[in-house]
Amino acid sequence: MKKIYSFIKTGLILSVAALSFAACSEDFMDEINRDLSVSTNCDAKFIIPDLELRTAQNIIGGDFNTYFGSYVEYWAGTHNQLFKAEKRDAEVRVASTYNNNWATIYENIRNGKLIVAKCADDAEGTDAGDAGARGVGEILLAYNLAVATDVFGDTPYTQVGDAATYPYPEADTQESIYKEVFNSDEERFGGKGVRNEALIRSDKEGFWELPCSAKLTLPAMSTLYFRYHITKPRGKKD
Amino acid sequence: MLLLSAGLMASAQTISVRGVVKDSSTGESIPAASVIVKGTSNGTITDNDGNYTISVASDASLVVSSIGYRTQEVAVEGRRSIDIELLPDIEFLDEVVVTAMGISREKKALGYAVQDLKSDELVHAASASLSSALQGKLSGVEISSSSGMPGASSKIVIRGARSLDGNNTPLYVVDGMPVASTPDIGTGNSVTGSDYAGRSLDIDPNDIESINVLKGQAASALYGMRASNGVIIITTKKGSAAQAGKTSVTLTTNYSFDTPAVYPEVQYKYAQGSGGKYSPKSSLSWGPLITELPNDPGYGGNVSNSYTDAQGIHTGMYYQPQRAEAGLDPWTTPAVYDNIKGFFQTGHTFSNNVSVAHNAGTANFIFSLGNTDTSGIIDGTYMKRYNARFASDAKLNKYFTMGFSGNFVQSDMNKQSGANDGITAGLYHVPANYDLMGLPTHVPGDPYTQVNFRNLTFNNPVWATTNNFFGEKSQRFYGNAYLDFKTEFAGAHKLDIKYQIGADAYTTAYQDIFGYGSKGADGEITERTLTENQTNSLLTANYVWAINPDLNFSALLGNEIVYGREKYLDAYGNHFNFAGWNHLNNVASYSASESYSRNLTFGTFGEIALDYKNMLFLNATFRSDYVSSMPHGNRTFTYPSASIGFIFTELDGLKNNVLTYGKLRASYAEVGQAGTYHDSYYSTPGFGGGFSSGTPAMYPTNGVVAYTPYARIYDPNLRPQNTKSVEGGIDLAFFDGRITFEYTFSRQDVKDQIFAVPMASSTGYAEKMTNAGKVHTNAHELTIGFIPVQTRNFSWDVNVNFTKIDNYVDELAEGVSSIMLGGFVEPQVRAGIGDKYPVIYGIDYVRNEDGVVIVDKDGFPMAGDNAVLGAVSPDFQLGLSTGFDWKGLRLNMVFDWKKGGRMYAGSAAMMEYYGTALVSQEFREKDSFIFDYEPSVKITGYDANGNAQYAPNDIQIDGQYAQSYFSTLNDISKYFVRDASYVKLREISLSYPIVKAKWGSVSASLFGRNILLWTAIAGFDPEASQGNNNMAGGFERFSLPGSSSYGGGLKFNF
Repeated sequence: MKKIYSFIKTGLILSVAALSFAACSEDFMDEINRDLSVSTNCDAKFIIPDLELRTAQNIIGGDFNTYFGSYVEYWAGTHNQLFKAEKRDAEVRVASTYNNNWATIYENIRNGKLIVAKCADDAEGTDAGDAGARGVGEILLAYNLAVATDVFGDTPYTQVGDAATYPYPEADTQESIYKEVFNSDEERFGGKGVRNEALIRSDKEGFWELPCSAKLTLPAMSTLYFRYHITKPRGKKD
Repeated sequence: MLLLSAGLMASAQTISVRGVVKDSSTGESIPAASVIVKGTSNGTITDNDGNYTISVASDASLVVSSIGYRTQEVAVEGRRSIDIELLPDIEFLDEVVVTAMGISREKKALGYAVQDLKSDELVHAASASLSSALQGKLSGVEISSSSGMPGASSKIVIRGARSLDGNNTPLYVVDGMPVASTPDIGTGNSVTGSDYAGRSLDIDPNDIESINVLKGQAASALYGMRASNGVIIITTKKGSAAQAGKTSVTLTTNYSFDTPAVYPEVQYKYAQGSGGKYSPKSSLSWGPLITELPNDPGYGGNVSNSYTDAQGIHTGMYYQPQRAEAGLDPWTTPAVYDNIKGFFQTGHTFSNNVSVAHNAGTANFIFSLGNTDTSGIIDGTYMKRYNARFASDAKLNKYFTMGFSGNFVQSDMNKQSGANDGITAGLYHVPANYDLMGLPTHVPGDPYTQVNFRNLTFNNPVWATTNNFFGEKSQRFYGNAYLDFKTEFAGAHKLDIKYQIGADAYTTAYQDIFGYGSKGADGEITERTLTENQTNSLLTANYVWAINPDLNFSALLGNEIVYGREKYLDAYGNHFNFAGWNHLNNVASYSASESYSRNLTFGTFGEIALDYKNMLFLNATFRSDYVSSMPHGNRTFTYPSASIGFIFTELDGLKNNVLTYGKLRASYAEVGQAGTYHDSYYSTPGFGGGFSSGTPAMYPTNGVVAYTPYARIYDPNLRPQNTKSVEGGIDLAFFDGRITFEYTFSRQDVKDQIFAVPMASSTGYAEKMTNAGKVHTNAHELTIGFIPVQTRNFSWDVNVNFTKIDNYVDELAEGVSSIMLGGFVEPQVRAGIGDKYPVIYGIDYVRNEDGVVIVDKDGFPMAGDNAVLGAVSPDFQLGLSTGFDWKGLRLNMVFDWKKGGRMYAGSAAMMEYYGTALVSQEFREKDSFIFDYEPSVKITGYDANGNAQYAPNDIQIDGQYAQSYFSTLNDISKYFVRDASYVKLREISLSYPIVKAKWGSVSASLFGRNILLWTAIAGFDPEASQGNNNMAGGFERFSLPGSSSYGGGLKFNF
């Protein structure tokens, strides 16, 4: 009997000791679990190439382009997906058709916002104050946002990128977005700051045989985005 | 007085009796049988040839017994030579099974369900793969092979899935050591590329002595987190099986030939083209009658057109441009070709195994070599596997035993691609007038410019077999060594301390090549190397105390350390610079990546068991795991389990001769499953998918590499997922085991599922690895054994295994209503809330409020919204195995019936759209037909409120619109979702011992495997499908077909 008790006692002590030894080596376990194949941080200059390439590859020349070309009869589809688009078949109305591009354009917007945040003057890290990288980021961010709002209407922007805080980003209205993408002649881009402050009204003065026209001030070598502004507030879409 | 008593004693004189103890059914002698004089402790055991000699009083009786036989009493009655024949004991009361951690237990003492198979049940039909050898023989276990290709991956799931998108395969333990068994490379969405084999392929069924399946969490609780999916315990053959002092040599050789299990039903009347007109590059077969081709306005040889104008009238012939491309005379007489049957060849499998076992009493060893050489039903596919094994046990002295078991496996295989890149994508649509096997596959002088019946979105299948390769080469060693200390003290106490250290190390090299010229482009190559190393240390101390004759106590305490390392290298290149050299050194752009990961688990476990009067059995376990893969501070987890078994037939009042054994059992267990946590990191993103083919862009581009935050983030509060399972069952045996009945019901509730929860894409991320979701499973398992006839010359036994598993997804994560497991954006296989797991999701018909299909004014159904189209898991699965034995001639059959369950039958439905299916011809030739796959209604008008009015659909569709009809159906995924029920003859084998002599024996066998008796999806094997991950079984789209095998073998025993 005594032998058994002492054996059991020894066994328990050993196992508790083994367990506690292991318990104070959380750092050891952290080290084992560390993924050596990846880096937890990269400079903005490495994010930029993907923002550039993906905007060109998937947004400018991607599914949007392919399908919309059929809708405006820029080309006529003769087989499979484009033929169905030509017939305005099921695919036109189904959410799954543009899912890939929705994800890609938001990947770009996240990356663009990340570049801008990393390069802010008061940011932490090596990219702080890098105006060049920031500029590239802002332009491509603006372009992607413009395409997103053109295609999807009211769409998220402000809450994009911080997945832990905003797992379900809410849509911003087009109005606030268009203010952001407005003018590349702003001082922060190194321009003169020439803007069209007042609302542009189109009037019935014909121009080049088109029925209406609007008068704009265009700063040289600039890009401007305008949005159709209506005086009556728009009803909420369901 | 003394003299008198001596005389009385002497009147029953003591004589020497000798004889042989034999098995009454086989006539073989039984060594080590016990022969005891009844009422005394005087006894002996038979020698290796079954002989015994004993001194006994001439009026006494002998009690002869041996494990596995019924004890027999024989009255001496003065005879000096008594041969005894023992009847095999079919009572399984004393059957011993290997349970967790290698502890052998009597089956009757277990409070949970286990099922075991012995070696002869596994090798009847000489299956080279362990998973196929198990099909139809286990209840509660779903096994399906992804195709009939050599080395095809298999899916094994016990009692349904616990993890939504993670690992659902059971743990394989070989000789006490857990080994890797799953594929290392997943097929991802499984819509391109080839299959990847699982590591369970390395285990040769010929080496297995027995398999024990621990189905529930209570059974596998001691294994901790790795065993929440159940455990398959494999015990390999040992040298101790040979007779003491003898060496036994066994040589087995088998040969079989393989054919596709079934061929699709094709039409042989209509030619390539569309709308009744011949179009030589069309992917469709809705052209004119083949016999009418010479009259085709564009290409016919009888009429005036650009070809006849240029080259003259060719009566009775037509112009086929592909023949001109291939450098042949383009004018040809219309003919019909059986392209699918012509493409598949007969595969061959040749397997051999030789094993030498020697038992020297205190030590034994076994050495075996095996090889399997399979060439597949598709030209160029093959698998070669070589196994070498050595195992030895030695009893060093009264206390210590040591042993070693080592296995070395080398395998080499070449597969083919399925799905979008697949061979069958091109093969199933070849028009009947195109000579696939006869025409050259390339233009003259250039083997890399293909000639195909259609454009090169899909390769010419014959060209692909010689230009595209998907190879795997693997070397593996797994084995262990142990030292065991056994002692008894103070009479009733036994102690057994065992330390075992094992290793599982393998390297696999994968090569996927789409050759130069594939899809009309310049090809790509992916080379991967995976090196995996796992070390396992196991220390157990087992203590047994026979407290009193009615009460036994045992306790187990143990520690396990598992340390794994994995290194993975991946090199990808595309755009071969020139043809003829499909090599990584010949690419225009490269990318490579490498990863190295480690994990460490430190586990402590214990068990306490009490058994009372061999009637009541109580058992409780705990396991505590400390794992490296979880977040800091969240690494220790402890789980309990408890089980109880009550053999109610041991109660004196209930003992009877009809119900000879009855046990009630119940158990409760909690087990966790760990996930992997990583700090958020950056990685180089990739391009692909959408409308692009292959990889449209790749880093580095112009020497520039990009890094962006990886699409998946990890929750720092990750917890292990927790499975709570409750199991109850009853085991009954009637007439000493002539009829056995085992039923188990189990309910598993899994919460805190760890899975990559899809995130709103508008966050910029794709998924978050966190806890969410709840899944529950109800599983019914029934195993019935029945021996209707057992006589000296003839016996017949039947075993039935019934499984019904219902898996439901109760919850996912907030905002997530489904998780995609594989497929396309539409259709896909997914896990959806409230649905069974998994389901097929995609475009459904337009239906009215009552759910009835609405047809349009032409009688055609219309494409509607996305919806759940069907559940993949079956209503039930029934395996029936039966054997007849007549004087040694043995016939075995295993049937497998799967009822219910749906599958996306992509190939079957696509063939109808393309016009190569027999169904297409039948519809085309009808005067009219009506949409009747489901009840449907037509709209007759609208009432005052604008609601539609319906009437049963009676709109006839003219046969000439068949092409348009199937084209409409092709847009509606619901049409593709079909009942995947089947009945298969998994194995049939006939064996006969030809020779039985002193020097040994020879037996011969004939067998057949995977014979498809009936399938609901005509022309296709419903088990062949895409994916080696959780979507397996639900999605078939240009998958490689299943195959049936027929062959024979010889077995020599010396």
